[in-house]
Amino acid sequence: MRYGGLPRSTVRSLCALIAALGFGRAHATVFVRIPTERMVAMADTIVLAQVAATQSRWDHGRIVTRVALTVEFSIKGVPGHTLVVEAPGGKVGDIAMRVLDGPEFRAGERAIVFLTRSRPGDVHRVLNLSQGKLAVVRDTSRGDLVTWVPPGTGWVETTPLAQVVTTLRALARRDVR
Amino acid sequence: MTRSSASATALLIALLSSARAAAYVRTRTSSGTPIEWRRGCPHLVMSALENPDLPHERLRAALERAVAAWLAPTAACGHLNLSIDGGTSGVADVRHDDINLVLWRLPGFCQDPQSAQAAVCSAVAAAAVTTVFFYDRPGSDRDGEMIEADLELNAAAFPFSDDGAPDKIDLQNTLTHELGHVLGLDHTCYTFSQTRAPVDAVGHPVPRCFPLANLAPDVTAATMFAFEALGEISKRVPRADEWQGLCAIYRGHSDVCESALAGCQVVPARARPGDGGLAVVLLSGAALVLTVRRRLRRRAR
Repeated sequence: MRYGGLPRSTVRSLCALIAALGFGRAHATVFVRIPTERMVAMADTIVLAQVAATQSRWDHGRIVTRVALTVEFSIKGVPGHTLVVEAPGGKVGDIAMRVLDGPEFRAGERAIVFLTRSRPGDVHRVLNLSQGKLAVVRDTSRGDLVTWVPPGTGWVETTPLAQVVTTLRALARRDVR
Repeated sequence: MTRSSASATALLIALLSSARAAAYVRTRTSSGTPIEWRRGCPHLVMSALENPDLPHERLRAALERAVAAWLAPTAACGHLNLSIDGGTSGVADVRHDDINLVLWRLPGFCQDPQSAQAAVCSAVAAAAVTTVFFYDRPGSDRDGEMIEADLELNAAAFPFSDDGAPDKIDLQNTLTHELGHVLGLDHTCYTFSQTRAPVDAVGHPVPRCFPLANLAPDVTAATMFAFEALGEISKRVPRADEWQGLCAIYRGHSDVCESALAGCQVVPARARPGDGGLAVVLLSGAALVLTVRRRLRRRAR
C-alpha cells in the first residue's frame, strides 16, 4: 500500500529521519569569555569616553587606527582629559584590514572602554578585542544605555549607563584593596 | 510519487534549506559589501617558527584536515581552492605581504616590547586571531575583494593539542573556524562592541552573543560560532548550512551547487547527529531516487 505514491516503508523512513536528524541539539555548555569582574581587574584604565577622531595608517605592513578619545570621566585609573588608543585594523585608501572580532570605533560614538598598556608611556590598547568596548546607546525614553553582562550574572542586560558606571567603579575599588 | 507528494517534499526541502541557509554570516566592508576571494585562490603558508609541542608536520596535518573539512563537501559547487604550501616562510608576518600566513604565537611572545602591537597580546581570551585584508571602495568592481588573510594561533595564552585533549584547545577545531574567516565568513553572533547588529546572508539581524544559553542551536553549533571550549572538537566539521554558504559565495554564475545538492554529492562523511542540513540532503536524495525510479517504470511500461 502507498501513501501519496510513496511506499509505506519510505514514508516511515523519512519520518524517522526527520525526527532523528532535523530537530533538537544540545547547547554549548562551556565558553571562553572573560567575566566583567576579571576585565575590570585586568584593565589599567577604564573610561567613559567619546570618540573624537580616528586616523588609520600603515605601520610595518599592517593598518592600525589611532583613536582619540575625549574622556568624560574615569572609572579606573587616572587618565587625562584625552586619551589615544591604538587598535589593529582600519582603512587606508582603498585597502582595509580587519581583525575578526576586533574593536572598531567611529567618530562621535560613546563607549566604556577597557584599556591596557604593556609599559607606562606606551599607547593604550583595548583589552581583549571587542569585549573591551561597551557601546553606549541613547534611548529617547530611557536615556543612555549599555548592554553588558552584569558581574556574577552571566546574563545580558541593557542597563542605564549610570548604574553600569557605579558597578564598575565598585569593582575597581575592590580590586585596588 | 504523485505530483502533490512531490510538491510537498519539495516544499519541505525548501523550508529546511532556507532556515539553514540563514545561519551563515559574511564578513563585510564598511559599506556592507560581503568580502570574498575573486582573483585566484588563497594559498596558505606556514611560518617557519615551530611550536615544540606541535611540530610542523602535525600543524600541516591539522591544517590539511581543516581545509578538507571546508572544501571536500563543497568541491562540486565552487571554483575556489584553498591550497597549502609545501614549505615554510621565515620572513612573513601578520602584515600585507601577499603571503597568507599561519603562525604560532608562542609563550613569551607578548613580553617582547616589539610584539605589543600584535592583536593576540591584548586578546587574552582568543585562542586564535585572523586578520584579513580586502578592498573597501564602494562603487568599485574590486569592492569586497579579499587580498590576504593571516592566521595567528595563540599558544602564548593557551595550550594546544591535536588529539582533542580535554584541557587544551584543539588545533583542528580552531583551524577550521579560522579558515571560515579566511574564506570570508564571520561569526554567527556579535559582541557588545557594535552598536548595530550585523546581518546574516539573507538579511536577518545576527543575534547578540550573550547570554549564550539564549542563543539558538543553529548559532552555537556552527563552526563559525565565536566561542570555543577547551577540548572542543565540534567545530572540526562545518555544518551543512555553512557548506551551503560557501557554495553560495563561490559558485560563480553557475548553479552547479544546487545540482550537486540534489544529487546527494554533498552528504558529509562525518555529519553530526541533529544536523537538519543533513536531513535536507538525504530528503533531496530520496526524492531524486523516487523520481528516477518512477521514470524508469514509466519507460518500462
